[in-house]
Amino acid sequence: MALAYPWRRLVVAAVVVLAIGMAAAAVGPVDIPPLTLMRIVADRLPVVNLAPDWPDSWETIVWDLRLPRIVLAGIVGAALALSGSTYQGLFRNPLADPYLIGVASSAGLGAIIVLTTGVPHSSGGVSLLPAAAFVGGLGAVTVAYLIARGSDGVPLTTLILAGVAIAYLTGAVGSLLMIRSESDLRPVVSWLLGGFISAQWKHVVMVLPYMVPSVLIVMTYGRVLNVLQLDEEHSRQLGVNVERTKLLLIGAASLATAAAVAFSGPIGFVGLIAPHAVRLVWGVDYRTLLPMAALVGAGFLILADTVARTLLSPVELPVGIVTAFCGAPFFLYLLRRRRGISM
Amino acid sequence: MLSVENISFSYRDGPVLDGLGLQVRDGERVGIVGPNGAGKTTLIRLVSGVLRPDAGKVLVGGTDLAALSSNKRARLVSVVPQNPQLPLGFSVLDLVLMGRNPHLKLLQWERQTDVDVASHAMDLTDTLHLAGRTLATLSGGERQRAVIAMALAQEAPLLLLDEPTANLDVGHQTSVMDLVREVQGRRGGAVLIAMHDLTLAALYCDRIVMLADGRCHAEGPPARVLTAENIAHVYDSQVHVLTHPQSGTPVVLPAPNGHTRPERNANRI
Repeated sequence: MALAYPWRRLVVAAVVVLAIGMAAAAVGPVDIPPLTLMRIVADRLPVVNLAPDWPDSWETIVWDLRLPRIVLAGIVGAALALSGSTYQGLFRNPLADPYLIGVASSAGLGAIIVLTTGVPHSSGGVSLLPAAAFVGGLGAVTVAYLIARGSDGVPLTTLILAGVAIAYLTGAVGSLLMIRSESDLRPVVSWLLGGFISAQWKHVVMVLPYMVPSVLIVMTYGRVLNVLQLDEEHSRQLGVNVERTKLLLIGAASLATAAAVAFSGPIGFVGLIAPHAVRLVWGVDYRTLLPMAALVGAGFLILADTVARTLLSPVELPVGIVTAFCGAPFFLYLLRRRRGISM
Repeated sequence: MLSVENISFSYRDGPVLDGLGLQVRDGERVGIVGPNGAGKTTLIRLVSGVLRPDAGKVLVGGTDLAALSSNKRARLVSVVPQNPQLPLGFSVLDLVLMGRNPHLKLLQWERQTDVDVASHAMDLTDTLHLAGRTLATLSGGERQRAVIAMALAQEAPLLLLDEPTANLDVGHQTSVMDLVREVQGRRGGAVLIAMHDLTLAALYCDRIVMLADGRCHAEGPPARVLTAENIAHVYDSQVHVLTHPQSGTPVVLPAPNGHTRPERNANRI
């Protein structure tokens, strides 16, 4: 019996995600031939110097409009799938998703406050909308964690219930603000539906500092997440420092989720189904499940966003509608084929 | 090997253990018996380090458990819990390899030596042929053996078992206890078993510790502890104690209507 890390499967998945990204960059109101697209991208690489034989507008379309959007969708998809896997593993609950303990509705409250109360949307070049959403999302998790914490640790059921209660509360405050608001609510609704319509490279740069440490922490704990599937007491008897693991993983997953929601709004479904799809096809070992789920989430959200912007072009569909429309039937098919879920 | 020194422990709703002391030597197999609520499971949790005593000490191999990190503790004490929650999607090999967790660093993938130790543990528990099967497909007895294999893979000198024969039929009860005895014979170490079944405890343990009200009521070889008098006192129940025809150990037979209080209730009805 030999154990080997399934590198090949991961590399193949990564290549597929890259291919999806390139294909997504090629389609739109202006279709760009794949070869030209690759040359446009290659030309930007430091050592490559090609003679441009394409219109300047193509370069703008690819580089300033489509690619930042694709890259951001990929990062957000990966972050949501990774957080979803982490929550499902930590809470030993197949229904867990990244928004389980209140990140989404509390981030929404932050966004609604900025959009309806006449607070300036940006200050000194810093955009306040994502900042408020980020603070709202992380704040909710922090409050839930502190409420749940007792003398001998943080009972996870209490944490979930506290998170759900906070989600209802912030959701109610958000609704109240919207009803009392005299300003145009369309920006609020569009934010709440989620999407990448205004994605820019600068957003990618702002998201990465939160994603990188979160991803590293979560990936480091893959084997411990396997052990935690037993139960907390049994894991302790196997040498796991359960409370420290909970704090680190909840912190990392919530940080990634809050950063993703801050820039894209609360996009549903990716964080729930990507981990299950991976589990059903490739098994339950978190060491491979986590990176595979991240890649599947990235590829899926890039595809969904591409459908969202091209299907009824020039009208954009909210990406959350697309993720639900494509994801739900596929997920049901997987459930049917494998007859149920085992965690 | 194990030295429990004068420990006391209370849950929120009252004390469970009150100044309990207990020794287990290397190579010894000790059974903990006592009525429901006497503190058997609490004692197992204290000795595995999941709970900390309010007073007193638990020493394993001379080291105070409270001073150890969770990893180091798990290298000294392994536990077969009463009702383990098993992740059914994992294979038997995956499960047994989880027993290697205290020997691995966070990012470390299992090494060949870990796979060897796991294979050996599966060999001892007769689960090697199940290595690739997922836990969902195993019977209750097979799962029990896989969990024992996982505990053995920890390579801890002290093995704790909490009611290992609960929910098993008579054939599986003896085969699990035979297994525990045989494994201990081959790998050494000390074994502490919490048990309900007094006859089985007498058959398989060198020494019995009888708990009552958070203290040790009687302690010693099975024949000296499992007397009708001790059992009547601790369990509030009249029993017959016979001698096992094969091993000579006490056999505890329940006596109908031997319980003092139900008899009164029966009269009332």
